[in-house]
Amino acid sequence: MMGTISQLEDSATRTALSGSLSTSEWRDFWALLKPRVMTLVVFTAACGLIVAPGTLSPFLSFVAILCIGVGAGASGAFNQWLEADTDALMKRTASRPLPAGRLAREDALVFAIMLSGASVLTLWLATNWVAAAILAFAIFFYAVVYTIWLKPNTPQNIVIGGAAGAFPPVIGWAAVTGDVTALPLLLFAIIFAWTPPHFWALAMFIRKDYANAQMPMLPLTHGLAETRKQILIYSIVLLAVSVAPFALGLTGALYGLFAALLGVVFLALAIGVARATAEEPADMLAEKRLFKFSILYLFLLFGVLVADAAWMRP
Amino acid sequence: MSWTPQEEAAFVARRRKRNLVIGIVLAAFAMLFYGITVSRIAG
Repeated sequence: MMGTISQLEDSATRTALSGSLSTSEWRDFWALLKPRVMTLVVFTAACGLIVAPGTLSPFLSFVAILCIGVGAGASGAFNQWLEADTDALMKRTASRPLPAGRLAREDALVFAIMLSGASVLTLWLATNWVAAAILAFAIFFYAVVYTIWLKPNTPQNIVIGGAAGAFPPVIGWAAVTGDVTALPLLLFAIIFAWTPPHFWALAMFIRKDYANAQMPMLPLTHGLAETRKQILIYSIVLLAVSVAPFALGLTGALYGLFAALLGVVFLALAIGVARATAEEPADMLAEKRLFKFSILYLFLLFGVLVADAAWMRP
Repeated sequence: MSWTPQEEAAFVARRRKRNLVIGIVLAAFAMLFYGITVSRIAG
């Protein structure tokens, strides 16, 4: 009996120690950065940087994009540090390094602070203070305003919190020009309007996970019918905002044409969601279609923006 | 608490790999700042 207890204690100690800095792997630190989210951040930031008027050397452009990506990764690390307990309750996030016990919390916090400081200061040195200040604010907004304040308290969490993900093209633009004008603000607005239908479509078919973690996501607080209506409304707003750069003469016809085309497809899929009545995640085909297309949509829209800028430039 | 030889070997291997990654990152950081300095002066 005593032997069994001793073995259990030994096993518990080893499990506790497995989360310490001395045993964690570099892959766990990499996972803290949310690499998949970083992909979209890096891409949209690069697009903002490319379409901005002016020149920045290829090396400094690379450094700027790197800093924006690392800053986004730092936000992800703060987010995982703050949400380790709720992540453990959700199937989608339970295997992350902190809830799985592969990394100590204090190590994650130190890592996030170091990356935040390094990315902001390096961006300042490489480009200008405007870009660095927006990056610092974006990290603060995601970690504090979204993760601490909005996410656990209001179903509007991803609407307002969506701003955090909308900053990268603005930072990319500011890295080149040192200011923020109408086009980067419209790029911000596009991602801002895109976020709710993208996340709510996902939240609908994984809502049980959010219910376990007691997150007040719209499908849980206001029901599926209201969520479907809101997805449709934001998709209409997205279509309007996405063609605005062309309507205001800030981009060429190539962008205008594709923005309208992609927006109409997005809206058609959102109408499909609005008309759907599925209750079970397995039956939510319209929602899954919209979620998948929404990722492709953003990549294509920003890709066309860059192509248009290259085409328009003398 | 005592580790088995296998656990200790795995621990040492993980630590060595992590230290190698930290070393590479630090070296890359130094090169990055050198590059930034050169680019800013040239610009």
